[in-house]
Amino acid sequence: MAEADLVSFELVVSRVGDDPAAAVDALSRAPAWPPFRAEAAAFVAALSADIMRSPQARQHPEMIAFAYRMRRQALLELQASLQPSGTGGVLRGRGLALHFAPANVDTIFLYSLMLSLLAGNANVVRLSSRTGEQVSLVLDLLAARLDDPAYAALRDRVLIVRYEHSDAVTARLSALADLRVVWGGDNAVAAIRRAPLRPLARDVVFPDRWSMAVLDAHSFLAANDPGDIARGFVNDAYWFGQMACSSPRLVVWLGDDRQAEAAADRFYALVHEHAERFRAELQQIDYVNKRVFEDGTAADHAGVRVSAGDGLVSRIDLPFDELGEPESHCGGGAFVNSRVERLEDLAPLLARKLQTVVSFGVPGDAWRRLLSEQPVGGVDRIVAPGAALDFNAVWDGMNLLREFTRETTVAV
Amino acid sequence: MTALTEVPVYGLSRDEKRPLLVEALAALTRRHAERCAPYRKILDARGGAEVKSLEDVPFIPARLFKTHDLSSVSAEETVKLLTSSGTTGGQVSRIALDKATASEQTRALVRIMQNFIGKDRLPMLIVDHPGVIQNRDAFSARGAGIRGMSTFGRDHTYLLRDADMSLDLAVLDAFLERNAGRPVLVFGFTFMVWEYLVQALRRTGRRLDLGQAVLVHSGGWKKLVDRRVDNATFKAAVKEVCGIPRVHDFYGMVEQVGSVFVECEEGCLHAPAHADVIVREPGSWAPLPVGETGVIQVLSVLPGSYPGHSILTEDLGVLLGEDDCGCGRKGRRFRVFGRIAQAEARGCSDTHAAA
Repeated sequence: MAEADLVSFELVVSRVGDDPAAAVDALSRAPAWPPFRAEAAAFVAALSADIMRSPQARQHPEMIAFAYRMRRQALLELQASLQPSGTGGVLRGRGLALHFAPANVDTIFLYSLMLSLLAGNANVVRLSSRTGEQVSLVLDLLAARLDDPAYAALRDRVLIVRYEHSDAVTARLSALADLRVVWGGDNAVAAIRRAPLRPLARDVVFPDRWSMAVLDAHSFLAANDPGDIARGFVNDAYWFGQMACSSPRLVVWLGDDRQAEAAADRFYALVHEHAERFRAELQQIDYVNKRVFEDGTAADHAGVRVSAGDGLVSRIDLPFDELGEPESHCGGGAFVNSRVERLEDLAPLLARKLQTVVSFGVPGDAWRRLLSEQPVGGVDRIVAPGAALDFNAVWDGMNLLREFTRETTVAV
Repeated sequence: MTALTEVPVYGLSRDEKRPLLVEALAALTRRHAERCAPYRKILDARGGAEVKSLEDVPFIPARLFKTHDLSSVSAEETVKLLTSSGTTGGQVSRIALDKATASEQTRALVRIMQNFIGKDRLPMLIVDHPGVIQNRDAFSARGAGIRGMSTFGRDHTYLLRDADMSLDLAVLDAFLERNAGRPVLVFGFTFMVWEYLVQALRRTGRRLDLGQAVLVHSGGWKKLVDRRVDNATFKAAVKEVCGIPRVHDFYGMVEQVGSVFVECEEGCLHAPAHADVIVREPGSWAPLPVGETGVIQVLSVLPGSYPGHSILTEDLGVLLGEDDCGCGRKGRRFRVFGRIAQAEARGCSDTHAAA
């Protein structure tokens, strides 16, 4: 690296020496591999097994979910799903991938790193300076696997770094990357995009998104297991303090007025019951933020009704024609609640930044019809209650393995 | 409303004060609901407001004055627009005052401060640099506070140098010579007093003998708590280094100018007759009894031009009692612990900004 004296950062996990510039250099020389090369797949599966065996890691449901998605069997399915589009085409990694991990959802960087490793790339991961116990746990397991002689071939393909916000470091790293993966929302994307990439390199970015729930009132009232639906929804919403991009902020009921009101009353009572589990995680400022959000929403719109009870679940009823995109949100369990008569009426709300719809009582075919027949700008995933936060290799509308690889057409 | 601003400022017992206060605040609630549409919508969203007791008076978060224009008077009637300094995030509160509210605020502040420093305008030492009242951008809150307090003094003398905030002992000595033997008023922001007067004097080894002085300070304890300095330590140091026996902290905010809560000789903040405090449990927002810590709600009969007569602050505090203070003043007494801790950022955002 040129002007290496300008650039300094901490090497959190490095098996290519202690000098930051030399370490990054070593990774940039690692050749791209074809996807799912045996060493890479075995390494990911071994790490998954390590997490499953670690009593501390097992205490975190999202770690178990990660390990489950990266177990050997799941990797085989993932591999089978990745096919070149042209007959006889060849997929390969892009080269050096540079990942910017989000500050607060600890497992995201693991998915990003592992999928890119499987895609055939060498990887530099910049961790946030605020990482939790889960991250140190998994970094220990990762380092131990890199030390295992069986995975020596991976040593120049994984480098975990940390540095305080620095345009200079980001620029140096970006200048070497073939692929840059940016998590962390609009601000992160804008800040990191200031550093130019090489002409042939590309960005895969994850800007701010928001999510909602669409529930069919009649189906909910008729459900045998309304408690399960509420429990799943509570997991979707209260995990990460309702501040993940996949956390539902809006709840829209399908049905007539009377049904929607009855269903919502029943639903929020059950949500309150299940949200008790998360009460200890709400802080004093969350309650103040919710109060500000409730009153601010009421001041901005006509016909608002607020019912917040003891503050655990805050329900803010709004007429549908008053709804806008809930781009800023207080988190901590505040739900803007509304109603439409029919699914088609929803179309104007399904704008570009809408990521996940938690859906109950609306058949998949009804969604497929809506998405293909109506001018719907957004929606990247439609999932059942309880699945909003499940990471998938198709994320924000992108097949990440495809985004992380390139395809060579062989037409002879 | 006139009644509570005419009675002795700390003279009403709970039974005398409550009915007057509730009546005045209920009237203000109705007035603002009629004249300020966003405020009315806020009340309507919670099913309206029927005010039968002090605890029924609806409150709105102080932060709303940063995000919304909440005024009950027209632009023509607005004689003064108060703004707070932005904290993190940079938004400022905007408070529209009409003539009546502005003058009620000034009168109320005079009545409160006179109770502690007497009716005479005292020679006044200001623990700040003269530039602070010229620089409207960087130090607007401090500048505004100093301008406000300056009405209670004369011979205004700034103790710090503009260039480096160092203590100008020559200026101090000249002031002491001019005003030898007279009572004087010392005013400054809590942190400034500690850092640039007390600590600065300690470094020089100089001791003052301001036995006739009264120190009034405000601005919050956050920086001092970070330095492990509490109120008792602060007062003891002021006494030891400056010889000042009478020290009064006060708690107030731009959203309710004129309703400051001044610390008495016993170390309690006191509600004046025209204002009150309720401490509420975060979440349920139920009022808490004496001794339980919660979020402070402040109430005041003064805001006639904006719906700020009942505000939920973002400060934590505790009620200590009512009509039972050793200092003899009536009304509620309480303590403030400071701002509610901000949450750690969660979710997917802020890789870069926060990291």
